[in-house]
Amino acid sequence: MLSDNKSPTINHIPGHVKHDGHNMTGFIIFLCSESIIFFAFFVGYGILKVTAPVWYPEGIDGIAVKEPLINTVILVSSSFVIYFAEKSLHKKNLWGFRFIWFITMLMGSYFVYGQYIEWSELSFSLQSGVFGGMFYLLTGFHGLHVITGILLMGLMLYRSFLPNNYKGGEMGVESVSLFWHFVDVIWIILFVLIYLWQ
Amino acid sequence: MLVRGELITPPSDLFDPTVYNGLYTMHGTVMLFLFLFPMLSGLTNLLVPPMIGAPDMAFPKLNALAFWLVPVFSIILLLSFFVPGGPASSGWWSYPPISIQNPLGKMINGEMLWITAISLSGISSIMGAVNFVTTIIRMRAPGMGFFKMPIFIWTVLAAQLLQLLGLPALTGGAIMLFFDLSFGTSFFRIEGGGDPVLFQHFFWFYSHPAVYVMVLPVFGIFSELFPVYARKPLFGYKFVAVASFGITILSLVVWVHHMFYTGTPMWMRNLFMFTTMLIAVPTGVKVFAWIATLWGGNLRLSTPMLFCLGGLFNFIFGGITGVMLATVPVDIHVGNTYFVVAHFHYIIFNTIAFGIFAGIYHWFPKFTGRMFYEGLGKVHFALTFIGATLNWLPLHWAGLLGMPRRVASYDPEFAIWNVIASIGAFILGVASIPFILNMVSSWVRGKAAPPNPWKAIGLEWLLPSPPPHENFEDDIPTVLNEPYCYGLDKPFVQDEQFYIDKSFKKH
Amino acid sequence: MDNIPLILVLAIASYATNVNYKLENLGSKTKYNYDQEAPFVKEKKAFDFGPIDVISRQWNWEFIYPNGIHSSELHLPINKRTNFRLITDDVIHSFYIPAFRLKQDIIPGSVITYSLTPTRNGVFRLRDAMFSGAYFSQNQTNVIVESEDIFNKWINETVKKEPQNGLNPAGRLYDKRLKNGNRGWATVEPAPAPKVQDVGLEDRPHDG
Ligand code: HEM
Ligand SMILES: [Cu+2]
Repeated sequence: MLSDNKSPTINHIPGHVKHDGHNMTGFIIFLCSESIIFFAFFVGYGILKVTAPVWYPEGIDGIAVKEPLINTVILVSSSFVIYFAEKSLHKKNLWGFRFIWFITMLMGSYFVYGQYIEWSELSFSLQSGVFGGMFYLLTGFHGLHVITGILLMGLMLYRSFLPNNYKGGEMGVESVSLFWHFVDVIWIILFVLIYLWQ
Repeated sequence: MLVRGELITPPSDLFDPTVYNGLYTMHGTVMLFLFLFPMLSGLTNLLVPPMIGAPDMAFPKLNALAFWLVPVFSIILLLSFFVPGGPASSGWWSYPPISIQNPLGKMINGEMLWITAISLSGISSIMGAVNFVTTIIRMRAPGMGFFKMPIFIWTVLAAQLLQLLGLPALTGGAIMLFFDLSFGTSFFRIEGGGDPVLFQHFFWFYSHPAVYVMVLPVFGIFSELFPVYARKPLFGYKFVAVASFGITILSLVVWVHHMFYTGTPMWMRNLFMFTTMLIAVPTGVKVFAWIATLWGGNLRLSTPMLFCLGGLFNFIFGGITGVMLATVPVDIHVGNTYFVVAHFHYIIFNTIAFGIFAGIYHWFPKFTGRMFYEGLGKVHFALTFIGATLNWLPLHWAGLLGMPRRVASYDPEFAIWNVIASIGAFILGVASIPFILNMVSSWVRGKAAPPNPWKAIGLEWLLPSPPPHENFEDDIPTVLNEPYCYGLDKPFVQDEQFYIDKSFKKH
Repeated sequence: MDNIPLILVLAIASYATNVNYKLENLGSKTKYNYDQEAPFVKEKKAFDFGPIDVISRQWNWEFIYPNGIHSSELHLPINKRTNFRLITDDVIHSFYIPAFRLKQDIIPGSVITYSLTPTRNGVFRLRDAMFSGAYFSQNQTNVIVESEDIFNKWINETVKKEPQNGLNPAGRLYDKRLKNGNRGWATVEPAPAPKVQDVGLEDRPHDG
């Protein structure tokens, strides 16, 4: 109806506008969904813990909290560290970013190492009843996420040396940092469930 | 067909009961995960970008990955026929402990391949869901606010959100089941203190919503097609749109209706009976809206419309049996009998598959650029409707009389219903012949299709048939009004005539 | 007008809730440690007879009466609220008597108490309704509801009998399968027939 007196293309928005936020939107949606797997495991843990006729494997009546607590402190603080890394990048302080980013990776790796030590010192296994299974399932599945996070950080670190890497925005770094916060929050819940609620 | 072949006579005489169990398990799994889900996501994939005026999905590579996972897990699942001990045979529920008994004690077994395939299918679906949701949220045509989206887009959004919220729970359950089966854990094994019923919660937390993931897009198809073939605006557009999300939310809190007789305490049964009943309300809103749309409309009984009408009729029937099943004292009797089998086939085949057929016929000219043969389509519809009715209607009686589902043999008193059902299944088999014939021959040498053969309103109908690679490319129409303004003299987009003219030009 | 479905379904649900409270079949569900015997859980609600232990296996049924009778068929006195303890050691089964319109799953690792009152004389089928593997469809037996006199006579006579192998159609079919070269897909071996005083009758004509 309008087309008779106007030249048709004038009011047509040109170009399929590049929506920059796609990757981030997609990633956030994915994380929400991923958190539900953890949520399912947590609920399973809670239900089994409350209702199982036998919980801890024979000869065990709890697990040590101290070392895991140190581990926890390190992982949680790394979430703050990564925030500063991101901030440096915003300020275009590239070397500052790389340095702090690398520190985060080290902290993450220390966490994995601590986890490994803890696993190797435990006297029960995956097959030791519901608790054994649940313990290794939760810490293992979370550990996989930590390792993934570290690898992704490594990738971002490598990319930061590529010329023109930040032309299209800092989406990669922002997503990895978000992922790291996510891994952190999951750990806090996990820590409360497994170590504090005994 | 083989399943019905076995059940045509009471004793199990065609093959060993173990084979029957494997076959029915694979039947359920293949139909759902290898057929319906991929069918629906294929259709959704085809339709979403043109309907919202996007050039493609938000993440084309992710899309390709999700797509190629389908043949991968299909092959894994089908390979399980050839491993020692045969395929998984504990039903599509795969409830432990029966699913983790592993009689031969081998590491590679049917059940293990089954869980692997289902998990991969879950990953593929999650990728698809992330993609669909992002695309719909971020890539709509200018002017297309939420309340100007076609209902199909609403239902896809609702369904895919449901995937994102529900599927991870099943994945979690599947991982635990896999560990129980293969690595000696005891999440669901009583020997280590586990709880087999916990798996049922994980399973149904997703698998109830799963039925809505499948049926919601079909509601979308109904909502698209009824206005086109009745030449009337969709009755209560906003209510129909919002009801989709009512269904999404409610369907996350009804799963225990599949577990009324597993020892679920009374208060919980009553609670979930009420929530399940509530879900009938948004569903009812839609049904009323469709009927009101049809009321006094100028109906065109072409093949897609026939499938829609048949599907709606069957859905009303299946909804009523659904409400019966939601009623605890009734479910306590007919749960896990052929009544349930009849109920969900009325939904899954007689509604969802009908809706998919309707969608295929409706959009066939758009995406192939060819018209199909109306006559063959009508034959296909008639045979399908008769076959489906004969197949599933009698089984309600078998169930009411107390014939448990999943039996390889049964008492003679149920014979008559099963014989009729087997005849129906045979007719359904025959019904696929005109369909395949129609699709193949009209695709090859059907009449060329105009851009908008049905005089439908919607962005996809402003494109040439078949649409160019990037749909509207960089000239996306600006949406002015809500869809379905049939006979209202409100243009759907700015400069409508310009796009119509353009759609006739060869590209 | 839009509220009609809402009112309708709420009415159905409320009525059904009432029915549930009237029937009150399900007692309690108690988890126990698998290494130990199923614990004796006392039913809190009143009943007239029982508890009868209902044991379901892959694939046969066994009923143990309070006086120690083991039977392959379930004999019940008419119009008496009878209490059961539902037990299984292998997989999930379901205690389903279509003629009674009642069904309750039997969950390994838990004892479930259950009560019902039969109100009609006759022979009815008891069918396992939760898929339990290869010979699932054979996992059936009979429920015989009889007057109190006949029931008591049965109790008193059966208790004196010697235990012998009870109903076990799955075992028979499995033997046949082995004889034919063990073709077909994998299955666990059927449990041996229970030792019972009343072996029952496999194809007893039934009323429902
Ligand atoms: C809208 C589409 C619907 C779909 C796709 C659908 C699908 C299904 C399926 C697949 C099952 C069988 C699950 C199984 O036992 O393997 C089922 C069972 C059931 N459906 Fe529906 N249904 C639909 C509508 C409804 C409605 C409207 C209600 C109730 C208001 C309902 C209530 C039930 C109940 C209670 C069962 C459980 C029966 C049992 O296993 O004992 N359904 N449905
Ligand atoms: Cu459901």
